[in-house]
Amino acid sequence: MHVEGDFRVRATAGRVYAFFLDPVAFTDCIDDPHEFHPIDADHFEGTVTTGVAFIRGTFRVRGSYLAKTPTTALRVRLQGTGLGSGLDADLELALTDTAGETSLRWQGEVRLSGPVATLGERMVRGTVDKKAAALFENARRKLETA
Amino acid sequence: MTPAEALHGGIGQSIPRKEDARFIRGKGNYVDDVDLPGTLFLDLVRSPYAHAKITALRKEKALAVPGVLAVITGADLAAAKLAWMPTLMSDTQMVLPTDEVMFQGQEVAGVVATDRYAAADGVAAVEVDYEPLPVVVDPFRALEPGAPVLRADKGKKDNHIWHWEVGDKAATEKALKESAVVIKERLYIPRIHVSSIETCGCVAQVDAMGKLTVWMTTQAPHAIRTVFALVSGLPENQIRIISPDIGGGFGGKVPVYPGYVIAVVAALTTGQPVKWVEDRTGNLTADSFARDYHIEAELGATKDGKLTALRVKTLADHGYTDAAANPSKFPAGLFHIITGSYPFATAFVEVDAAYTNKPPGGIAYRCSFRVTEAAYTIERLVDNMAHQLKMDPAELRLKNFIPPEAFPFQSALGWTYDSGNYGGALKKAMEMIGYDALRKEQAEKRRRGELMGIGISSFTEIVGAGPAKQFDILGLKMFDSAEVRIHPTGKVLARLGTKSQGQGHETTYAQILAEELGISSDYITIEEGDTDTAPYGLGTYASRSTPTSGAAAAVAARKIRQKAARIAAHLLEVSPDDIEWKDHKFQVKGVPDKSKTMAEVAFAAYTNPPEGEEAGLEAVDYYNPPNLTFPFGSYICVVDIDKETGQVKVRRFVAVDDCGVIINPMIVEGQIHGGLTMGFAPAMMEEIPYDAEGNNRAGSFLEYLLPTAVETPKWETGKTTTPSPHHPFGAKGVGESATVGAPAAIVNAVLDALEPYGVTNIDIPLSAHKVWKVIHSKDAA
Repeated sequence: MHVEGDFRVRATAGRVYAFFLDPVAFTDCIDDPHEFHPIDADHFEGTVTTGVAFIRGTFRVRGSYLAKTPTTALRVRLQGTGLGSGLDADLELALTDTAGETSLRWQGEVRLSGPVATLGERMVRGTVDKKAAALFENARRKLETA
Repeated sequence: MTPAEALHGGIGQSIPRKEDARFIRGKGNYVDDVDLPGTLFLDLVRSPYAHAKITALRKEKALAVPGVLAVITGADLAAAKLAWMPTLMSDTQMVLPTDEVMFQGQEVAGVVATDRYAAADGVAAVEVDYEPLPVVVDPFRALEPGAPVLRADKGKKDNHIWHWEVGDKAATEKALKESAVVIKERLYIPRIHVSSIETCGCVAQVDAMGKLTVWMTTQAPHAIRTVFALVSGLPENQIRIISPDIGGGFGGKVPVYPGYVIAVVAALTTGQPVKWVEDRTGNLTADSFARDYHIEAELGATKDGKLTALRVKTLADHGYTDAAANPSKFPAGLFHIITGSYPFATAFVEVDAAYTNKPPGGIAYRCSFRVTEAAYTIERLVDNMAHQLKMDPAELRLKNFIPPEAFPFQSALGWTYDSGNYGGALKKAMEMIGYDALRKEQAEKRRRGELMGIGISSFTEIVGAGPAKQFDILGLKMFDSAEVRIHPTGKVLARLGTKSQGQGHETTYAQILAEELGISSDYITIEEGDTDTAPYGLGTYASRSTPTSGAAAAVAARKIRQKAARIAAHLLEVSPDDIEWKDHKFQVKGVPDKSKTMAEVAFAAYTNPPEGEEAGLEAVDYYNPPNLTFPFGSYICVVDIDKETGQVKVRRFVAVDDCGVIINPMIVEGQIHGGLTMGFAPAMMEEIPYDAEGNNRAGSFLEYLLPTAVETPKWETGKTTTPSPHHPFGAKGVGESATVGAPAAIVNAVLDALEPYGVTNIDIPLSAHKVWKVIHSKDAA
């Protein structure tokens, strides 16, 4: 499933980049109950309790920064299992600094397996879009108020 | 009223079902009703991936969940040499994986806990790390060079399982070349699931003497006991399998599933009873599936509509293991009944099977070993041929049917049909539905641009396996059995080797014995499904119960009658040669007033047996049928299609069945209604599709659409009666006929309606969207 979106935030690209390079900071923008911690500079892991429709439970997620281009780009891979299901996502974040504001464009592929995938894209997509939008909105708020 | 008519519950009477006295009051005893003190509960961790390497499995967090007592893994089972088990087709199947999962939903670990909720929490806490591997879900791609080899554990170099063929290849090739008209069609019959009301489950208990008892949702308890003994090494006398009431089987409860084995292991290791009852998603994603046949068929005919030859090439998708519930000799089941109701001079069928990253396929779905696939193919092709020749499909069939006088008939693919009158059944169906008037109506509607279709299916079934010389499962010959005992007061206990899953055996077997023994069916108790008490049998599936155990009951009763006749002669003080069985009692020949009932004889058998005669009155029969039985039918379906939406409405459906001598007409009609609904379902609604990642896209009833009373058409039924010449009382099987025959009639009707668009096939299920696309793509063109 292809996902993409963008948002603008009143913060420099350097700050935005640093924010997303801190797994605790950016995973804290997840609306669902969660707990993440870094393993090393390139890896982090944790849990998030979430769900789609009637299928709800806890995902165990491992994250890896696959590529880091300071202040302009990040590539993150998320792999998780839970609810008897699997989640594999490759996400790319592109940052553009314009006079102290940053445009962030994100896109990627999300692969689901197991009962969550069984629900079909028509149900899963709405949930994924909603949760992604919430995550980036929360990130924008944090970056602008900090 | 003659004495014969006075007998209550004899053959041919629509008496109420005896078992319904408990079912309609909610007093059935199903596996989940078995409630033993100290029972633990098993739940299963399932793979989210269709193909992946297991790189780590950690149970610590699960074991820390309150109530969780054990987590059983593939490594644990491997230590006991139980990580793998044989399938019914002598392939191998994982109980739990040690390093690789092969389909989404596969069992990965078992969690045993003090209650269901703790077990579920424990499942969520088991940590499994997977490394996804390339997935292959398309059997054609699975056979391409370079496809990931799924069963390297078997030394396989590719995903090809087997090739099987039957018939005369060269003669068929020649006949097709010489045919004036040859049509060719590719048909896909997708994966479907039986979706019984009751999912699979078991309760395993080991008693103080080390005896294992398993209450289990199985259609074949005796064979399961033998398999358990062979796999586990436990002595067979120390294993007792009990099939209590079962909420539908349809073939889905023939295989051994990992959950059963894990529950047994859990009971053996904990010393406490362990219950496993799968949930609906587990049932829909991991239990065996039916169909998944990709068929390419060619049919030849002369210009004037004489069918000449049939050639069929099929690729069967068996998932990651060949666990099909087929007789050993026939890896594609009885698919070679595909010549159907027609006397082809020559035919040729070949089937190849492939491994894919799907759960095991090849169970019946209310069908006798691939017979639905066969009937669907030939009946679809015959209709297409009729359209090609501009002939009426009924006329083409009537011109080509095997004539009644040709029976017993040897088919081009090797079967000996026992009896049939196909023309009689079709003509009756045409009369019931008003065929000629419907064709006139259709012509009128076509002129107005309306879409109305009429579809026919004149199928031949093949049920009742054995004979033992041809049929076995894992080497166990496919006979079946009955043990009949008459008590001193003339009441009867009969135990049989089959196992009802809702078919009504307690009633129909009692009726057979009532007829044979002259004792009211009210006084006949039928028991099945307990391996400690019932005689060995191969179970109930493939419409085999009446042809085999039903026959065994009749033969056992006749053995009893032989002894009873000697006792009656003793009581009547005549020679046994002077005794005849007439009007359900023993009479002195020519002196009907001098007679003894079976109850009187039974009392004497225990109180006053003749000199030299053993006391008691009982018999056992292990019946090995001399041939299969060949029920048949003709179905006619009328549909109307909404051109704007593609919605298909089945306006009428007439089903004329012939299952030989009918034991209980009400039960048979119920079987046919259920079977027709399970034929309508795959034609119109049911399918288990997989995405490219191997995800089952119909893992709940949100997506897997069972017809409810709202969607189910109104069925109109009729019958003809052509007794089986070799069955003791002329019966054939019937439970599956309607499921076998219905899909082709429905699809033929839809394609008949769409004939103006020139379309010759739409793969089932015929969703409104698929039909709409055909209409609108052709309209646009």
